[in-house]
Amino acid sequence: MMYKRMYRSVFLLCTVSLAMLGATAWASAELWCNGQPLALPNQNELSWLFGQPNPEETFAPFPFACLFPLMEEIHEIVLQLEGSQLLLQEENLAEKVWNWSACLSSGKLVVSIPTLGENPVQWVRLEGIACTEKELEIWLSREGVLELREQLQRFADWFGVSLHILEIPDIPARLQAYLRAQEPLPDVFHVESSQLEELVDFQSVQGLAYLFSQDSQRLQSLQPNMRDAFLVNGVPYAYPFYADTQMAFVNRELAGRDFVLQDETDLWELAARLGSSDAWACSWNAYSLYWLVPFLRGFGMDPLLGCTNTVDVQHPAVSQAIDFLLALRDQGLLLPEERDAMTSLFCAGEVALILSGSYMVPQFERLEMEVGMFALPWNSRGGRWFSPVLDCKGLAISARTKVPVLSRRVIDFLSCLPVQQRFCEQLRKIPARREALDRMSLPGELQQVFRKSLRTGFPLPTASSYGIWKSVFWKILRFVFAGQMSVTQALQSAQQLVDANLSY
Amino acid sequence: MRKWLWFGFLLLLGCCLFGEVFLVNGDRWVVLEDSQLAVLPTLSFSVAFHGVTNTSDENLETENWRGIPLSVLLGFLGTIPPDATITLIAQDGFSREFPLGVLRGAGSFGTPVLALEREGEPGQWLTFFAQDGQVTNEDMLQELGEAFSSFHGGQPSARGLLVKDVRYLVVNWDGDLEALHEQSTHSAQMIEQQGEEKEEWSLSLSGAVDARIDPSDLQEWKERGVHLEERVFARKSTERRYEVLPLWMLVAMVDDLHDEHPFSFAQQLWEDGYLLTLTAQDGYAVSFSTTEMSTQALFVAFSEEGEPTWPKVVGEVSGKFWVSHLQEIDAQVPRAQEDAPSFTLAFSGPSGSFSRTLEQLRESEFFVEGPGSYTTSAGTRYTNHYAGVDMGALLVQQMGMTASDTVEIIALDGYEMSYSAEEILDQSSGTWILAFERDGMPLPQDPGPVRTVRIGEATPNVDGHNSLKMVKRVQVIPVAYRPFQLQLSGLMQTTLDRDQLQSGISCHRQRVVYQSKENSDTYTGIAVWRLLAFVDDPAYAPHRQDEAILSYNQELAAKGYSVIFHAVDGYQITLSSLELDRNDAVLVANAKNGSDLESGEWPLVLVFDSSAERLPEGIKKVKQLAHIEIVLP
Repeated sequence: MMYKRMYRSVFLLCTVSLAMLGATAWASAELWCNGQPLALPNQNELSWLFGQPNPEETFAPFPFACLFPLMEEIHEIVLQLEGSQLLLQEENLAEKVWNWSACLSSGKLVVSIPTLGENPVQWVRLEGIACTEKELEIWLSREGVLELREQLQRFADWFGVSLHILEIPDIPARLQAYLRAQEPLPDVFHVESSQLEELVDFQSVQGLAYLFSQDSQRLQSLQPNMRDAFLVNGVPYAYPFYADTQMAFVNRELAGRDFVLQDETDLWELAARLGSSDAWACSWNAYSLYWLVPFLRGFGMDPLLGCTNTVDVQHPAVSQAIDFLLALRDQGLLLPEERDAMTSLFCAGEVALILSGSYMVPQFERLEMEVGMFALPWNSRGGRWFSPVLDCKGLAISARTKVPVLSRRVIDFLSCLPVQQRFCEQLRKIPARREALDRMSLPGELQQVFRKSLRTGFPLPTASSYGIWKSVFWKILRFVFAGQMSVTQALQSAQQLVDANLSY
Repeated sequence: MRKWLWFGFLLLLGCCLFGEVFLVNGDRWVVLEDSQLAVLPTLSFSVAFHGVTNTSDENLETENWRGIPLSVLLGFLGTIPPDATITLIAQDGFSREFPLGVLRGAGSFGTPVLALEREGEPGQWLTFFAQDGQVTNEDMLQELGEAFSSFHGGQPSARGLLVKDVRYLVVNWDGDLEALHEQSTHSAQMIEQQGEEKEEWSLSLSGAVDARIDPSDLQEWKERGVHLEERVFARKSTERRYEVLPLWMLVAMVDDLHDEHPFSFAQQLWEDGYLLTLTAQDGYAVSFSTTEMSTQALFVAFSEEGEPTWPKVVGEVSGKFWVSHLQEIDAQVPRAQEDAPSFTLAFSGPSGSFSRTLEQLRESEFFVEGPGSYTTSAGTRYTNHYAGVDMGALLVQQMGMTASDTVEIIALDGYEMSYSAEEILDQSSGTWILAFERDGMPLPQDPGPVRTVRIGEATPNVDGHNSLKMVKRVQVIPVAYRPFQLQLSGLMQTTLDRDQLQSGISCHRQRVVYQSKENSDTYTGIAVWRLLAFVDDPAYAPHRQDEAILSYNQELAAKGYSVIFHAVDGYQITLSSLELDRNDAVLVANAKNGSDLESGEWPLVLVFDSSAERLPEGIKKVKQLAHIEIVLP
C-alpha cells in the first residue's frame, strides 16, 4: 500500500508543478515527509484500512499519523492553515500524532489537534526519523481474534511491516514457560486484569507509565472507569483495549415486553409476572465471587480490597449481600446455577432473567431470541447501584521487546477511533476509547447498558489477593447455599482461609 | 514609603526573572520558562489591528507575529469554570481581562496568541490571529461587548487589546498585583530548589550474577582510576557533552562469575550473542541481541553538560536506545551455577537392574524438554519448563516394559506411587518424563534431583500427588495396574482413587501385625482416623486448605459417632469414633508382607494390630473394603 502511495506521490509532484505554473491542482492537500512528497489517501483507501465495507458510509476521523510512514521520532511538523502556519516542535510528537485526528471533508483535509481545535490544512511538512522496526510478534486470545488478525494485517500492509499474529489460549502460562526457558517472547500480547499481577511478578511485561507521560491525551482519550484497569502498585502495565460488562438478560416472552429492570424490587415484580409458571424468575452463578461483587458494591463495599490489598470478608456488606441472595433463593426467585446450565435454562425458556456478561450478546443475537438487555439495577435497600464488573482486556508490551516503537504503534492503531468503533461494534464490546461508543451502531438497549455500566461499573482489582478470595469463596458459598454453614460461620472460616493464604 | 520600596524591589526582582510566564488558577501555579515556551506549538501569521483612526485598509499596518495559541497555555491549568474570566497582566501591572470563551477561540473574533515574536523581535505579547487578517473595531465590540473592549479617548480601538510584556495569565484575578509578584518569586525559588534536589539513583545489573551501583560506586571508581570518558553526541541536531562509561564495562560486572576483576568482559559471550535489556525508571524497556550491536556503540552517561545526571544510555544509535533514567541492565546469560549434585537414579525390573547418573541421562537419546504443570490439592498450579528423560521410551527400551505392566516409583523419603505403564506410554496429553532440570537449572535436592512430570506443547497439567519428587528408584512390575476406589461419606462425600490413597499411605505409613489362627502378617496402610478427616466436617479435608487448619475433627470424634465399614459383598461392621480417635493400631491397608494384597482382600482391607492395648469393641477384619460411612447420633 505504501508503495502505491509513493507512485502516486510522483504523480502528485507533477501535478503540483503544473499548479505552480497556473494549472489547476486537483489534490486538496500536500504531504511531505523528510522532504519527500506523499499522496493523500482517498476515501476508498481509508475505508479499506479501517475495514469499513462501504466507502460512502460516514466513519470516524482517522489518526493523522496514518497519513505518514511509521515514525520513530518527529522533530518538527509544519501545517499550512488558512491564513497562518502552525509549527510544532515539542517532545514526543511521534506519539502525540496518533491522538490527532484527520478527516477528508468536502475535498479538504481537516486536522484536529488537542488544544488547537480543527483546522483545514493546505499542506503538511513533517521532519523526523522513520521507524526502522519492521517485524513484530503479537499474541492474541479470547474473542475477536479473527477480526483483529484482519485489522492487523491491514495495518501491516499499509505501513509495510510484517506482523506475526498468533492465537494463544493461555498467554500467561506460555509466557512463563518461554521466559524461564529464555525463549524469545512476543512483543505485544493480550492481557486480562486478573492475570496482570502474575505477569508483573515474573517480569514479562514492561510498565507503561511512559506512554501516558509522553502524551497526556492518551489518558484523556480513555473511558474514565477503565483507566485504572491495569494498574499494579499504581503503575500501568497494559493499555486498555475493550471491556465486557456484567448485565441482565431477560426473556421477553416470559417477562413481557414492557418489563423494565430498574431496582431490585423489579425481581419480585418479575416473579409475580411469571405467576404459576414453572419458570424461575432469575438465575446466575451465585457461587462465584465474580457474581457476588456487584452486590457487595450495592451494599457499600467500596473499594473491594483494603489499601494494602487486604481482604475483609467480614465487612458488613458481604453478609448483607449473601443474605440478600439467600432471601431471593428462599423465596423461590433465584436458582443458583453455573454459566452453562444457566444459559441452557434461559434459552429453553425455564428462566426469565439471568446475569451474564455482555460477551453473550452476539450469541443471543445469533439465536434470534427476543431478549431484553438491562444494566444492573439500583439497590434501594443499600442506596447504591449494584455495580457491574468491567472485565477489561488490554494490550501489554513485553519487557524483552526489541521493537518498542513498532509495539507502541500497533497499540496506537488498535486504540484509534475507527478501529475501536468497528471492532467493538462487530463484537459488541465496550471500547476503551471514549469517543468510540458514540459512533457505534448498536441496538438501543445495549447502548444504554454500556453507557450506564461505564458510569456505575468498575474494573476488578489486579491484586492476587482478589484471586485468593475468589478461590476461597468458591467453596464457602457452596456450603452456604447448601445450608451446611451459616453465613456467620462461613465468613469466619473464609477470613481465616484468606488470611492464611495471604500470609503464605 | 516602605510599601512602595518593597513593591519596587519585587518589580525589579520580577524583571530579573523576565522570560517566564506564570499561569495561575486558584492555588495552582504553573511556571513556563523560556525553554519550555520554546517547544510549545506556535502559530505564524500576519494581522492588522484597527485603531481609533486607522480603520481603513489604506491605513492599516499589517504585522508578522509568531506565538503560542492561548488554548495551549490554558490546557496547563486544569478545569476552569466556564464563566471565568482570564486576565493577562504585564510586568508593569497593565492588565486586560477577557471572558474565558473568547480566549478559547470560541468566537469569530480570532485566535488569541501569546506572541513570542513580533516582526522578528522577541518578547511576550497578547495578540490575536484573525483569518481575514484584520481585527476590526466592529469585531471587537461584537465579541467582547463594551465591558471588555478597548477604548482610546472614548473611541473603540482594537489595537488596545494588545498587551506587551505579558507576565501572568490568571483565572478570576482579584487585582492584587503585589501578591502576584510575591508569589511568583516564591514559585521561581521553588523551581530552583527542585532543580537542585536530585533523587539519588541506583542502577541494577543482572546476568550471571547480580550487582547494583549508585553514585558512591561511581565516586569510588573515579578515585581508583576508572576513567570516565567525555563524549559528544547529537540528538535532534543538538550536540551535548556527556561523561560516560562504555555500556560493556557495566555488563562486564555481571556477564560471568568473576573471581578477581569486576570489569573482566566476556567478549566471546557477547559475540556469540545474548539478549540485553535496558529498562528505564518509567518502565520503558528495549532489548537487543548483542550480535546486532557493537560494544563501542552504547555508553552510559553519568553527567550531561557538566551536570550530574541520572544514568542514561547514549550513543550514535537509534533514539529508542537512548534510555533516560536507566534503572536496570539485564543480560540474559546463563546464571552462575553451583556444582550439580552427584546423583544416580536406579532402575529395576524383571529384566534386571541398572543405574544412571544425571549426566548420562542428559546425554542419552531419551533427553527431552518442554513446559509442564502440576496442581496441588490446595489448588495452586505450578508451571515450569522441565528437562529430563522420556520415561516411557527409556523403560520400554531398557527394561522391556509393556503397556500391561505397572511402574512403581520410590522417592528418597520413602514415598511411593504406582503408575499404569499404559498411562506412561500414552502421549496424547503429553510425555511423562523423569525431570532433573527446571527452567534451565538443575533441580535442587528437594523437589529434585529428579521428579516425575508431564510435558508437552499444551503445557499439560497433572495432580500434585502424581508428580513425584525426590525420585530414587524406578521399578517395572510385570503386573497389570488395577485402579480402585474407596468411598467415604458423612458430613461430606468423597471418593479417593488408588493414586490418592497411595499418596496418603506414603505420607502417613503405618504397619501393624495381624495375628490370625494360621499366620502372623504385617499389613501396611493408613490409620482409619486419618481417613475420617475427609468427611467429619462440611468444610475441611486433608490438603485442601492451609496446613495451619487441621482437617480432622477430633472434637466431633470425642462426642462419639458410628463408623460403618462396608465391604464389596455387603458385609459390614460398625465401630465407635471414640475408639478409633487417633488410634494408629487400626488401619486401612493396601499391602501385606510388602506385596499387594491377595485377591481375597484386594484392594483394601480394614485390619488392626492384634496386640494393641486399645482396640475398638467388635472390631473384625473387613476384606475388600469399599466404603467407610460416618453416622452421627
